[in-house]
Amino acid sequence: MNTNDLLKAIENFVDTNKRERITRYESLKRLMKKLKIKQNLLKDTVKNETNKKCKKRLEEKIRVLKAQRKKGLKLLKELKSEI
Amino acid sequence: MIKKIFLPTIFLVLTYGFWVSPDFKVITAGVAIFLFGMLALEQGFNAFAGGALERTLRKSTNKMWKSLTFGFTAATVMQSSSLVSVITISFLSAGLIGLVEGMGIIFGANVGSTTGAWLIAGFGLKVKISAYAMPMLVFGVIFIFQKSKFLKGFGYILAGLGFLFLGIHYMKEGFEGFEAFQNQISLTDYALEGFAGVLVFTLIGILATIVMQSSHATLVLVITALSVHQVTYGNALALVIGANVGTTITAVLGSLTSNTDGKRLALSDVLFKVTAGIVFMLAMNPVIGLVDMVSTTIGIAEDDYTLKLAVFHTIFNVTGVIIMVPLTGKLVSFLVRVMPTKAPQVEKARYLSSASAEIPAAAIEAVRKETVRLYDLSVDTIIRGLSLNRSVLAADSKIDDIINNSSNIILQQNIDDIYVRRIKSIYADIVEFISQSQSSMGAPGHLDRLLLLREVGRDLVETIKGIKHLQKNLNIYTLSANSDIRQEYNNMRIQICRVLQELEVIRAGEDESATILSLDQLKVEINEKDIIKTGRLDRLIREHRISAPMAISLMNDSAYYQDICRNLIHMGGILFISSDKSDEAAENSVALDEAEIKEVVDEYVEEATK
Repeated sequence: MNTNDLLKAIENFVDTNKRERITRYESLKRLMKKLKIKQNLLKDTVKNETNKKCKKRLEEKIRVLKAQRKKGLKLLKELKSEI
Repeated sequence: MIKKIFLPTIFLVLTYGFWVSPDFKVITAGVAIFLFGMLALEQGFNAFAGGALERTLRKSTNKMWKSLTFGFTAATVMQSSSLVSVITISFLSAGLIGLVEGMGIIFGANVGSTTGAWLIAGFGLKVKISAYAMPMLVFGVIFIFQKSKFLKGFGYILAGLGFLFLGIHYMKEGFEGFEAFQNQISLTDYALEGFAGVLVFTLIGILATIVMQSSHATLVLVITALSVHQVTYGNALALVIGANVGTTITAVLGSLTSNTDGKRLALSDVLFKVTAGIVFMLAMNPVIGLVDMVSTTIGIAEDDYTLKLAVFHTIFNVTGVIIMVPLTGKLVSFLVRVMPTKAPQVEKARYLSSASAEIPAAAIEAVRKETVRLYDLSVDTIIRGLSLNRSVLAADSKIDDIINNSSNIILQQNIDDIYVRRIKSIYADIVEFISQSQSSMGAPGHLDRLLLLREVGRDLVETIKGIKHLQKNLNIYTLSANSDIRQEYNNMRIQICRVLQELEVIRAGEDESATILSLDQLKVEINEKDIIKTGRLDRLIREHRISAPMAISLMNDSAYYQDICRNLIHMGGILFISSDKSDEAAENSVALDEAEIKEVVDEYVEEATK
């Protein structure tokens, strides 16, 4: 670890707000990953679903997931720029 | 076990009795009609609860002397203490008067009924109120068909009285059929002297009054027997004691359909008569002396036994009042001890202790656990309110198929009762606990969490109320022959179950992808399926697939259903949120707000119309 990295690590540790932002960023990133996996799983399920009603519900779920992820990704970007 | 075989045993015994004896059939039918009369009477008086009748009754019975006078006057006018007793039991069951007031009325009525003996002995006059039974029944039923609550109530009272008399008439007829009983009433066969005579004739008096269902009838019989010297004067007095004790059977019968207070009142009447009876039996000779003295004072001839009988009858009941009135307080506590009120099983909080109220983390956890319990009880009520079983909420359950193919309505217990006993009681404990522990919450986050949990309770209470409103039409339309209305109501059931199913999945925490974010999908669904916004309701009316009243029901009920779903989703978002603080914050930041939900819905509608 060079001096700059060390200083950054110390700064991150001392600045409570920054530390909070980092925790938030990491949690959100984890959540985004989970949502992505869920979305992909749903997409696979939709492909194999034959029941029209079920298919429609699954598609709706995907639509909601997309909206949530869109919102999450925007927040993630904002948080990253603040860190 | 005993409870299970009790009812079939009763049915078997009754069936055997009906088969063996036609008279038994008449007697039991009489009892059944009498009890039905009591139910009608109680329903009638219920209509007047809180009104003028209750106020008048309270005013005229708020002191012991007033109650006694009330009972005395009523029995004198009606010429039947039994009738006054059963009406008083109905008053008590309907909550119009209290036990002490009821006791006063009954004690007064016992004295009032002695005026009958004077009328019989003095003028040979017998007032027969039962002659009005048939007209009462007819007028009563006509009144029952009226719309006004009070006329309806009055109708029930009249019909109830009519049924009481009709029941008594059948009981009498049935007993008359028993040859053995007729022979037993032949008094000459039992002429006895001394205490044995008093005892035997008291028992005969009791039996005769039970059989004839009237102490007046027994008195007429005694006076007749006395006038032809079939019975000695001493034995005749014992018969009067028996008649007084026996007449309580009507009140006892009447109390069978009443609440505990009614039963207590009937027992107090029995105790009144039995106590006075025992005192008089033991002190028969001094009592005879007292009767002679009073008779001489008021100018009754030495050999005018019929009037002396009236004097005895009056002294008996007045003595009863003198003995019992000072003991009223003790009698009430005795009756309460002997016949305790079965307290309704009210659920209480399990996790909220005063010790945990002091420690913020413990208090929050206790409230959370209690709220989860409240949620469980509420879900049971909701599911039963939707005429379903909880198994429908299993993760792999196909809710659509189960609901669309279900054709039975599970008879739901009174939701109001469940709400009071299971939901409100626990919620009240939670609210109280939160108020107590607020002062010990140091960090603002702790207090916020507690207040949020309190909101969960309010959402659940609102949900139960919504289910109560929804249930009325749900029970009608889910069995309707009109498939369109049936489907609409089934859709509401399906959607509510989906919300609950999703909440159960989130709560179980087994599916990592199921978080409170999954609830957004349900919010979208509820908006998308809005019967008014989608124009489905207009289409159903335009195409004459549902009637206008059905449309109004649907409009109202769809509002209830949406509120139910929104309340459940809102409470789920608080109660089942991730326990990890940072995860909770992340989930909350990604959850869609109202405007974003609307965007998703609009996008869907746009695609669907393309």
